[in-house]
Amino acid sequence: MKTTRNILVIALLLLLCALPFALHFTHAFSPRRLDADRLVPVSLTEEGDVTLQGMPKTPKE
Amino acid sequence: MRIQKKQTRSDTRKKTQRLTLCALLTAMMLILGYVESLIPFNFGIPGIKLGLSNSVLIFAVYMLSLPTAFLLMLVKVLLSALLFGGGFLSPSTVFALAGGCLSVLVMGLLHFDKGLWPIVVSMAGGVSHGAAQVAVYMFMNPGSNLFLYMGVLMLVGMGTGAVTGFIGDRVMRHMKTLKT
Repeated sequence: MKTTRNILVIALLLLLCALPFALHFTHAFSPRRLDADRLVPVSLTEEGDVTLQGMPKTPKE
Repeated sequence: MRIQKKQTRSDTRKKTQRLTLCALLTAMMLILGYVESLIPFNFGIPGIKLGLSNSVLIFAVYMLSLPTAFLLMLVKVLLSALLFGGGFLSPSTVFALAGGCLSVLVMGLLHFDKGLWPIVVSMAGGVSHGAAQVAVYMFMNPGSNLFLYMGVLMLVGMGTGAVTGFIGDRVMRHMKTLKT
């Protein structure tokens, strides 16, 4: 009986340890987060061209 | 009159014994903490340590009382911040204080269940210590997502708690006579 109770408490502690991992992965793979990652940061140049942010502008011929 | 005098003497002696034991345990915790900082125990993850002073704390929880253990933890954290740390209000002191408070509270509540082994009680203390530290960091830095780190700290705390609980249990078995 004593051993069972102790093992139960250890199992409960392990479950508690798993909780932050679960929170991390649900946050990392949440649909909102994935959508945010899928968005491509673009900007409009003075000439009206669309370029990727942070990329050098290609010289016009 | 004589009986009263004898009782007063006995009370004074008990109080002195208790005070001496508390001072001894605080000194032991400080020394263990310092010795531990000298041992290169690095896994590449910050904040992971064995926490040998926890074995003294679990001894205090079982052999003295919950308020005394709480006071010992408070004195240890503040003195180690003053002697080895960056000061009373440094982040490491705040994290240590939060972890210590929660772990002593959890261990103190669980120790009332006489069926639980001290090792398991110490494991619960280790888990709560890691959780409280990261929770306080996340509270102080809103927007930070440190759940993965919290999980790792809790798992490691469980392992180190088992080690310190085992040491504390062994010490307690040999020092039952010290119970005041």
